[in-house]
Amino acid sequence: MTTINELIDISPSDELLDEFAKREIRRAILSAVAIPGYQVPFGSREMPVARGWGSGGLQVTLAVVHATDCVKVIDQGDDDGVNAVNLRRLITSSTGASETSVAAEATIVQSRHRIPEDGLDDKSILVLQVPVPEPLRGVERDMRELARMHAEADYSRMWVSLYEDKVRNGLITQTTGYPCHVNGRYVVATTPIPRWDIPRLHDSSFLTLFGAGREKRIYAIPPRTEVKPLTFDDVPFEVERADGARCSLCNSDDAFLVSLPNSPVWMCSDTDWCRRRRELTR
Amino acid sequence: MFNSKSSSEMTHVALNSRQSSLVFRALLQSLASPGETFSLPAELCSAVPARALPLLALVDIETTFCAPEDADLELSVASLTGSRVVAPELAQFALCATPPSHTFVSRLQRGNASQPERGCKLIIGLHPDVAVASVTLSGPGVRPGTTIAADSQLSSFIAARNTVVAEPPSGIDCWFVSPDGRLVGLPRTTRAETR
Amino acid sequence: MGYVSARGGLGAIRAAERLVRRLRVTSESSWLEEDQILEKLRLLVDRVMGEAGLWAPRLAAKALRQSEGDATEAVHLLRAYRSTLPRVSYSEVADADHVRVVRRIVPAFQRVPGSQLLGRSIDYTARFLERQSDDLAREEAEKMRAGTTTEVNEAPDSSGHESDDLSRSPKRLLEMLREMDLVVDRRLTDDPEPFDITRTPARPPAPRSALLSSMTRADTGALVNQWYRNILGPDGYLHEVTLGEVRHGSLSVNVTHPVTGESVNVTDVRVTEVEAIEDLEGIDEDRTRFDVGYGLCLGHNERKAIAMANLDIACHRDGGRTQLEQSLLLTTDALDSAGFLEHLKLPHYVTFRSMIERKIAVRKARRRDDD
Repeated sequence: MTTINELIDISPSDELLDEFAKREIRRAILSAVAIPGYQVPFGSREMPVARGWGSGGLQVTLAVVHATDCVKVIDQGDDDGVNAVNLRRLITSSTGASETSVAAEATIVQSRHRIPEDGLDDKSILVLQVPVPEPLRGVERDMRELARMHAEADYSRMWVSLYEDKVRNGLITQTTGYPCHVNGRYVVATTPIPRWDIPRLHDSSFLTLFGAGREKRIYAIPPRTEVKPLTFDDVPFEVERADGARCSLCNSDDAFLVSLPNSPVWMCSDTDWCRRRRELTR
Repeated sequence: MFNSKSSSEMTHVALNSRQSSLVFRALLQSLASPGETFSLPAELCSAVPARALPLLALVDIETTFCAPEDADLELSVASLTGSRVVAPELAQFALCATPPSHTFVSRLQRGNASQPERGCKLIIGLHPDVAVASVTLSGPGVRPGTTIAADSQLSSFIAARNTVVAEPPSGIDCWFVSPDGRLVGLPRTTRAETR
Repeated sequence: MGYVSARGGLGAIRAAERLVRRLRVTSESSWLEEDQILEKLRLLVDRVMGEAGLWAPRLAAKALRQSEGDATEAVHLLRAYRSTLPRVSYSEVADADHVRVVRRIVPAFQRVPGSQLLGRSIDYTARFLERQSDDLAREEAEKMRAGTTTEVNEAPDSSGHESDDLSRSPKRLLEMLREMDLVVDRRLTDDPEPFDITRTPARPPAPRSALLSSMTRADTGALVNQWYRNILGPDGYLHEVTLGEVRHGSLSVNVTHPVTGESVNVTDVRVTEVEAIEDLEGIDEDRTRFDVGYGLCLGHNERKAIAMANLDIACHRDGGRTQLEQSLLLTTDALDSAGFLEHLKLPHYVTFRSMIERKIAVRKARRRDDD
């Protein structure tokens, strides 16, 4: 008979989640992969990072990661941002996984608001941190109605809202977190990744998991799955571009760039990609 | 950690944190790449019936399961994990030693449009016999050209399974496990056509 | 130099942690002991335990010291610690009828069986800020401690009579109202498992147990605010109810021993419990009876339990007509709200870049239309 002590011993004391919390998250992840785009409810334990700061992404990573994994953690594409550093050290110190900044070396990439420019393949798992998992929040506030809309695949209010946007502004003004149709069934919130990254979700070689800790939902886009941004036949989906913009460090114009305020100086948001590009051209 | 005993003699064996993690990763990968073969850790398969590993890794005091026609294994899994044995109609997880009948498959929970995640997760032991059919797979995660070689029992199971997943998003999700720990996943979204 | 977010990585974080820790532990004043927090700031300790949903007074005291008095931060520390603990058992049902009261008031009646017990309450003391010097205050305290006055924990009941029938677990007012057939009977005939919000997130429509458990560990201010908004009307409209009971007392928590099968006491918790008597006057309600709302929270926290009882009955009467249930289930957790609010401090420059790009695109589109 298993003693209470044995049960407790199953959860090593330096871990952030007990074994049974991990199992619950794993069951939710499997459901999410089996139903692409559907927001699976889960218990969502409190983590050493606050709600809204990646507690969901962290729980997903902790449920998935093994001591033999190599983990990359980025925020806005940057491995060295303080929040990414904090999450990465929490993960590696509590699980023994190794770390890297090179996406191609990582088996798990946890990210806030970016997909790495390259390096993800069928050995990779991308974990995106999700502030708001509900793509229809802007057109509907009542959660009972939102549940019905997803259950019945009734996304008409979303389409109307996009149409009104187009009519009023001449184009669709959605910025990041562009709503997408997954596997022809569920509309998802793609998290605030830029439109630049959206095409990489479609027919990808890697598995993407989405963790929303505060709202307690997990969803997934398996590899080789259809992901279509919501738009109209006569309104092409547009990514962020600035004419003539190039990274001032590596000179590329084929990565997502960010700039200084009121300045013509641009930089790659994916700092490791930029570093490798610079090393190549040296 | 494990004794090489039959399932009826397993009394002190539960998967630890590391082992559960390895088994889960194989289950995850196989569901994300339906029809492809993955491996459960070899050292675990020699001591425990390989088909029991997914349950030992995933279930606990807050889940329900059934392992009909396998009373010893059912009792073992229940006592090792704390998971509750219930009728197939109520089970979140089901474990079958061989591909089950159409009748059994129809009894399993499929969830519904509001709660598709309630669909049963079914683990099936496979002792591959002579292949009589080739099942072509397509859908999310499936690499083009993926097929499963099926003997007659598996073919009938797949026909039954197809009726149960005919109304997405509800349905059941399956894993096939051979005695040497080879694992193949078949989520409800995969279209399986038998030739 | 290009656009740089808060960088500097591990070095920066470690430096920040050293700063926090140094000021917290090495400042001029003497070490803040757990006992001091437990005894002298007991209401804060109780509030934190209630919002964390964890009965652990000494840990709550440690958390408050570590958080430098930030109650929400202390709640976070406790809940994150709780996440590392496996659940090894379920308690037996703890019947609130067995609460051993140290305070019990019944505003609905002047006198009640089992007595009004004012207990240790500041409700009727005058709010004068005591401004004497620290030294003088300490002197007075020393005198009182050394003196022969015995602390009276109980006051005679409000009618001035000594209570002959003072009971530690007095009969509930609700029971008496039932005997008078003045209450709508909403008792269940089945015995459903309570909803576990720590394992399944609750969304409307949710069972009452989900609503009550969400409120029991809600932020105190959030519940008070929800109640007040609904009284004044910007959100909805409730009217004030008469309170049936306010109780503060201790309750035994037992588990069944896994081997012997006997009931074993694992701890005694203190709770605050409130019943709110609602005067039914809606068109489809029973005008000849009252209905009752229930509030219970860990520790001594009357305003929270009162708000909770009011909101429980309000939500029941609302019957899903408005989004009151959604507000209560989803906007009252201290960590969810504060965490999400403060996450705005995180870098958002990818989103900002994308927003600027769209603004420029809209201007271009307008110029095209004008041409």
